[in-house]
Amino acid sequence: MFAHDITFQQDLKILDKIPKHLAVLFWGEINEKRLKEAAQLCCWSWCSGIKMLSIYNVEDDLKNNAQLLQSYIDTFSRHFFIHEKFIPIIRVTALCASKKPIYSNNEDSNLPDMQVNLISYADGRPWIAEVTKNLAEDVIQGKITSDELNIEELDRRISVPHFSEPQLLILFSPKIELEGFPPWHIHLTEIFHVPGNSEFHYSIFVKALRKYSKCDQRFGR
Amino acid sequence: MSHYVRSLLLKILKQGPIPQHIGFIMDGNRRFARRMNYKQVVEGHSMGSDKLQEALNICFYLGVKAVTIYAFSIENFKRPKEEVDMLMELVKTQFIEVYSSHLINKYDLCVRILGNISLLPIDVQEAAKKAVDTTKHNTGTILNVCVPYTSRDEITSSIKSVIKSVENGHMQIRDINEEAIEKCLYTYGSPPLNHLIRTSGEIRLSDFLLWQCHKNCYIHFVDCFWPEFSLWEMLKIILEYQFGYN
Repeated sequence: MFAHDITFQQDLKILDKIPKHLAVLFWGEINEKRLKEAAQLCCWSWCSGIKMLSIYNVEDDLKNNAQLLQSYIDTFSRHFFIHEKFIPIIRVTALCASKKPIYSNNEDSNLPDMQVNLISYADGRPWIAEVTKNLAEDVIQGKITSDELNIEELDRRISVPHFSEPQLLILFSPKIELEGFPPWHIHLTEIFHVPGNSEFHYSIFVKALRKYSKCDQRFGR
Repeated sequence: MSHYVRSLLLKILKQGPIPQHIGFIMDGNRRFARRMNYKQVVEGHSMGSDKLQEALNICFYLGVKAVTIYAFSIENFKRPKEEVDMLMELVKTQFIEVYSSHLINKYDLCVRILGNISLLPIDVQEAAKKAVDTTKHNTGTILNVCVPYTSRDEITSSIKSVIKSVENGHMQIRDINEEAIEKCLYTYGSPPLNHLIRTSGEIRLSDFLLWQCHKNCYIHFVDCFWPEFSLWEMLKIILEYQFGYN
């Protein structure tokens, strides 16, 4: 498939809204097949206008294969965007628990066209515990008062710049189970479940986007 | 379904393993009222109330230890004043019904309020406090009523408690971990959450029990409005739990 394929363009036209940030949870082992699917997903996402993609696996398998994923993305996008005017810069980042990069492709100093975050269990509740420790230190040192500890301050610290809240989460898992996906980030996220441990076909991607497009968020009202 | 068949099915289910803690987002009362062409939205909420009594009866009969319900979100204060006032009246009535309900004695029920209670009107606060006070010594089952609640608010409140402990010298910074935060959550004292059920077909958590459902919890998005939530749906969920138990 290519970016300019008629079916692809038609599928996108009928969507009323697109998530700015898409997240995907892969259950189970991350093998070569899943990495190639992830690479494809990056290209489809960029074509759809998605600005950020986060891919989650409970273990660190994804993070440990960040460089391999980047190379699959580079290979796949050269083919996918061959008829386009330019090939978008899709950059993979994987952070460890202390938020230092395990992998970050810094060869290209330009800003990426799309950011791809690889996340794992450590980015969920353990990260919230880390943030709490840092906050406690700041309070002891008088940098912030207890009264200033509110949801907005926490949100600022928990949602580090590269990993904010996703509007849509596609869940590949036997049942709807979050498996440690960062809890703070998904307070309003639409959750699209793909039962079993299926392949990530293009049809699933489109179905998820269509479902998201139809969701009516009332935000409490 | 005839009363006999229903009774029999529940008795059969009761023999197998039962989840210890179920959470409900009882969504769809307004849309149900509109679809049934009720004159006022409050009738949908009233039907929802009846359904809640039924669901609690089933859960506690089966042996569920704790049920947590999303009665009112902090975000719901954004609704038109008329509706907020009506909902507050409804919440107050429910608290009054609860502390005079047969469920209290039948299941030795302890009612807990999870949320920023100071945001509620005084008369609702008083009804809530009475429900809590009259049941605080009960140890059989737990009803956690989230009002007014968001999960981010709960997590923030828990983190503030942890930091207060550090400030008071009761805890070292190095001891701050997931368990420490969990201990300060409103739900601490209830068993871990096993199932989270949301009706009305929406597929999001809407800031409910985010910390608690993030692992070892099955989430069910059920495609019917809350007043229509049927025993069959509960049976399916419990049966799935029992099949997966081993």
